[in-house]
Amino acid sequence: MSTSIVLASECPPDDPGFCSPTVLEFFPKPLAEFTLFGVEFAITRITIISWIATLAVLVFFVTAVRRPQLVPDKVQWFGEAAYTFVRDGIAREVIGREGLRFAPYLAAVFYFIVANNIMGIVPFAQIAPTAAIALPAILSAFTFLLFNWVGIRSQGLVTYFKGIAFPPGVPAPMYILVTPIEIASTLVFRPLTLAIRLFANMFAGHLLLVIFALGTVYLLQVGNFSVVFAPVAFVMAIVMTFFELLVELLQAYVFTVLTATYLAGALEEAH
Amino acid sequence: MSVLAEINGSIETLGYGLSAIGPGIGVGIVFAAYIQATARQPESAGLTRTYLFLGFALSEALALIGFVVPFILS
Amino acid sequence: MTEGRQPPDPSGAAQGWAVLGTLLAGICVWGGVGWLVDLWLGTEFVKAIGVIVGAMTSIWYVTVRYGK
Repeated sequence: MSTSIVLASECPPDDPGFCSPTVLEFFPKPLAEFTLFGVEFAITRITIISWIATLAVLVFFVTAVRRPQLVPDKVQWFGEAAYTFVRDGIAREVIGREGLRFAPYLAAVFYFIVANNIMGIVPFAQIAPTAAIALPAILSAFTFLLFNWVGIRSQGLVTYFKGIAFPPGVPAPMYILVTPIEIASTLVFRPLTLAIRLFANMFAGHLLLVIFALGTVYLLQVGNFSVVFAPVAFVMAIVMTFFELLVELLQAYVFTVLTATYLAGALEEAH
Repeated sequence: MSVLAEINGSIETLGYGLSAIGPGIGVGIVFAAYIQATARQPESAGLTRTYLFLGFALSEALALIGFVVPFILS
Repeated sequence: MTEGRQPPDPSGAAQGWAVLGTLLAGICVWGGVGWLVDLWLGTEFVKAIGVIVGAMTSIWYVTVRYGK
């Protein structure tokens, strides 16, 4: 049985039945491999999809602000609406007045994640680069560095870490138990869950879509009574595609809102 | 005595899946109660928020402990 | 400390995730401490005690911090 070149999973030649996608789905054959400064790089299909998504976002926003007019034309209006959504809805709403400083970064993160996530349902691409742990991990690392840097800069090193380790409202003896929890929660688990939430949603969504698509093809080709269930698999693939769109947008929004919340938490003692 | 049925593979995953049913329903009930109470009397939202987080944390802790138990008892 | 320590949270989603992170942190931190004590003392049950202590502490802390 031959699946299309777009679906990256391949059946091993000695397995005539249905071979469900494995983690290897996320490690396609590299198109180019090279080593730079002792680090191995592999350019795969997923890398190229990520580049295309990033380029699309860049081109869109650059076109929107090139030669701006007082009465905006369509692209400019759309770009302004997109930026205003993040600036007012997330930065100003969650952080307050100080949020305007961070609105460009939050908008960049939000639209970068949206573009990469949407590639999970775009035809011929159909895998979200954010489904590889590296991308969410780096974004979460940026968030971690940013909110710690902002906190240390605005409150001073000692005050900031004392604020994390000794939260208010806790009776003194309980600090022995609560302080390790709070330190671990803020410095370890929040960035970790930030990355894993995005990664797990995209990973699971992609696997679901691949299983339903491969299932439809297999059920149509297997040639016995099971062909009756092929439309079920097909309908499920369509339904899950729409659901996946919702999840992709929601996960980008949640990532950005949580980044903004951590920034607000790092800033708030300063005034 | 012969074996009639057997489950192979990762029992821990099965255990976590089963143990997450209860807390899932429990958290849903807690939040449903909070939403209904707030809808009936919006001024009570602040008062009942303590119980909201208490109920959510207690239910969720059971699910998290269910996730962690296989690693402890391995 | 200043009043209103948490930033305005219109949807409550950030608080929900913060609660979950605190619970997870409590269980893992004190479970880990219990596991290290287990390694040190050679026993088997201190891990479970650590997990329970951590869970109880984090639940109590969640009510104190977020339940006002």
